[in-house]
Amino acid sequence: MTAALEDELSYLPRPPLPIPASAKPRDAEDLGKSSFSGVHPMSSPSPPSPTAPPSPSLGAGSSPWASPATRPPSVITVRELWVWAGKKAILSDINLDFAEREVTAIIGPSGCGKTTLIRTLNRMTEVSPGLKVRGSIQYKGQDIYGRAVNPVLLRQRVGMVFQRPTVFPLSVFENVAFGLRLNRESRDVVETKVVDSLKRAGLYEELKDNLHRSALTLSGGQQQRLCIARALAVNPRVLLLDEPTSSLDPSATQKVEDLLFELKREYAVIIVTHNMQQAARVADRTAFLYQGKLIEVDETKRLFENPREKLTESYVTGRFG
Amino acid sequence: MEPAPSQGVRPAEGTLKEPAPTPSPSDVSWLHQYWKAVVSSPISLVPLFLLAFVGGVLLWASELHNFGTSFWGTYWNWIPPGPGSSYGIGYFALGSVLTAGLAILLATILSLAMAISIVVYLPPIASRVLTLFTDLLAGIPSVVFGIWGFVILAPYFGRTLEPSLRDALFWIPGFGGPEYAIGGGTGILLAVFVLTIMVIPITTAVMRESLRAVPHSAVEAGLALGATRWEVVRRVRMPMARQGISGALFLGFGRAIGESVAVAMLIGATPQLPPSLYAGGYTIASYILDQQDSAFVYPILLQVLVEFALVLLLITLAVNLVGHWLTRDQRSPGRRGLFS
Repeated sequence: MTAALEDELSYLPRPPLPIPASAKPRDAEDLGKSSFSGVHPMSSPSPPSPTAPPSPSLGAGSSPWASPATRPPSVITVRELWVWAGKKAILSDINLDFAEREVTAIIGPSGCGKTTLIRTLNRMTEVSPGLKVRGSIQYKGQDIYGRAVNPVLLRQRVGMVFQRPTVFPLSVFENVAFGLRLNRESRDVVETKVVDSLKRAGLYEELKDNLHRSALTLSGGQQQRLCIARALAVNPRVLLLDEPTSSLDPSATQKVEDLLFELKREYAVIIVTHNMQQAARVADRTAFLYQGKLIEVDETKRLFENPREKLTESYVTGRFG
Repeated sequence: MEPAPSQGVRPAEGTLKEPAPTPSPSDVSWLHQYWKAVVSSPISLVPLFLLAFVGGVLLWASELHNFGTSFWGTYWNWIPPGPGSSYGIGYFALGSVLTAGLAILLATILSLAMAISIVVYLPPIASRVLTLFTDLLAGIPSVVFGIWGFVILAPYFGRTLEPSLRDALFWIPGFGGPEYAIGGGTGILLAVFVLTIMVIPITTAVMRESLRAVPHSAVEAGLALGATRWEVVRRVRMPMARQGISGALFLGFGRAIGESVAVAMLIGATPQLPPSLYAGGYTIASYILDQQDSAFVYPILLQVLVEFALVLLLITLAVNLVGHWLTRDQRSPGRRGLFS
C-alpha cells in the first residue's frame, strides 16, 4: 500500500516502511488471489482454518484479532505490544486491528490498561515519563514508533479527546483553530475549517451566533464536543476517545454518542469506556481488556451475547468490574 | 437530661455527641475572638504591629515640611540648607524608575527563559540544581553584590564593556552619549546589571510556579493536537500563566526599586539627567542611604529624606499589592477555574 502524502508521518517525505514479517499473515499471497483481493493485507489475517498452518508469530489459529476478511481495511495495527512501568507490565502482548469507518470500543475494569492502550496509539505515552513501549504499532503501514516518525504529525492524524473536557481559556473559535494555527494555515482556511469542524461536531447550530465567546462559558457537554471539533479541525483519520462521557450528564452523553455515529462515516473511532451499555450502543467491535491482557475482541453483538471467553462473559454480565 | 432551650435540637438517634451549644452574642464579638487569638498566639500580634507602623507613618507624614510643588521637580540646590534651598525628587525618581524598569526588563527575559527550562526542558536533576541556585542567589546580602560589582565589574564595565557598547550601539538612545560619562564604570548600566541579578530569584520563582500551575490536562490537550513542546509553552503554558508572569514583574519591580545598598555603591551618586546609561545617576532609595549622615547635621535634609522615604513606601506598597493580587492564584491553585 502506498501511503498518501497526507498520511505520511516522517519528518521528511519518504517511502513507507516495509511491513515487518511478523505482522504479515503468512498466506497473504493466497488472500491476494482469492476473492478478497483488494482488501488491505494487514487487516485480514486468514480466518482460522484447520488446514492453514498456524503462523508462529500470530499465535494459535484462533488468535483474538482474527477477523472475517470482509472487514474494512485497518488503519491501525497493533502487534505484540507490551507496555512496562518499571518491572510491571501494564499491557502484555496486545494484538489488535482498528478498522476505518468503525467504532471500536475498549472495555474492561478500572486499571486494566484501557487508557494506556489508546495513549500508545498516538504516542501520548511519551508524555508520561517512565513508560516503556515495546512491540509494533502501525498507522497505515508505518511503524509509529519508528525513528523517522514525527510524533507531531502522528498526533494530528490520530486525534485524541480526553476524559474531562480540556478546553483552553480562549474563545470557541480559537479553541477549534488551535491546531490549524500550529500548521500556520491561512486565515480563510482557518475560518472554513473551524466552521466545518463545529458543524461536524454538531455544535455549530448552538454556537453560531457568537463563536467568539469564551469556551469556558459552555456547558460540560458542549465543551466535550468542542474538544472533538478541535481534534477534527486538523483533519485526523483516527479519533481516540478516552471515556469521553464519564464527566457528562445523560443528555450530553446522548449527544456525544449520536455524534460518534456521524463521525464513523469518515473516521476510525476508538473509544475507551467503562460503561458497557455505552459500548453496546455505539461500537461495531468491542475489545475486552483484563489485567493488561486482551481477552477477547469481536463484533460488539457477539461479544456481549455470545462471548468465547468465560472471563468476558462474567464481565459483561456484571459479575465483576 | 432535658436539652437546654437554647440548644433546641435533640441529638439524632444514634448520635453520641451533644449538639454544639449555640454561642451567645457576646461570645462571637470579633473583639473577643481577636483577644482570645492574641492571648493564644504571638503571631496574631502581627496585625497590631502593622497598625502601629501605619499609624507611625501617618503621624510622621503629618509633621512633614511643605516643600511645595518644587518637591516634584528636578531643581536641586540644598547648599546652604535652610531658607531658599530647593529640593526636587525628579532626578531621583527618574533614576529609580529607570534602573528598576531596565532591570526588570532584563530579568524578565532571563527569568522566563530559566523558568521555562526548569519546568519544561531540563531533566529533573538539572532543574533542581538550577532552582537551588536561583534560590540561593536570593539569600546573598546586597552589600556583597555591591562590593562585588564595585571591585570586579566596575573596572570591566569602564574599560571594556561600556566603550565597546558605545561604539557599537551609539545609535540607540542611551547607548551613545559623551565619552566622559563612562568614567570608572560605575553608573546606571552597572546598577541595572547587578539589580537584574538581584531580582532574578524572585521573578524566576514566581514565573516557575505559575508555569508549573498550568494543568497537565491542558498541556496534554495541546500535545494531542500536534503541538511541539515549544508550541505548548508558547500557546498553552504562557497564556495560561500570563497573570502569574505579570505578577512576577510587579514583585520584581518592587524589589528593584526599593534596593538601596548595592545601588548606592554602584550607581555613581550623581543627581542629574543622565546623558547616557553609562553616566552616574541616583535613586530615591540610594540617596536616603547616602545622605543619612548629613541629615544629622541639617535637620531640613532629614525632612527631605523622610519625604523621599514616604514616596518610596507608597510606590513599593502599590507595586507589591498589584503583584500579590496578580499572583493570588498561586496561593490557592484550586480556584483557577480555567477548567471546569
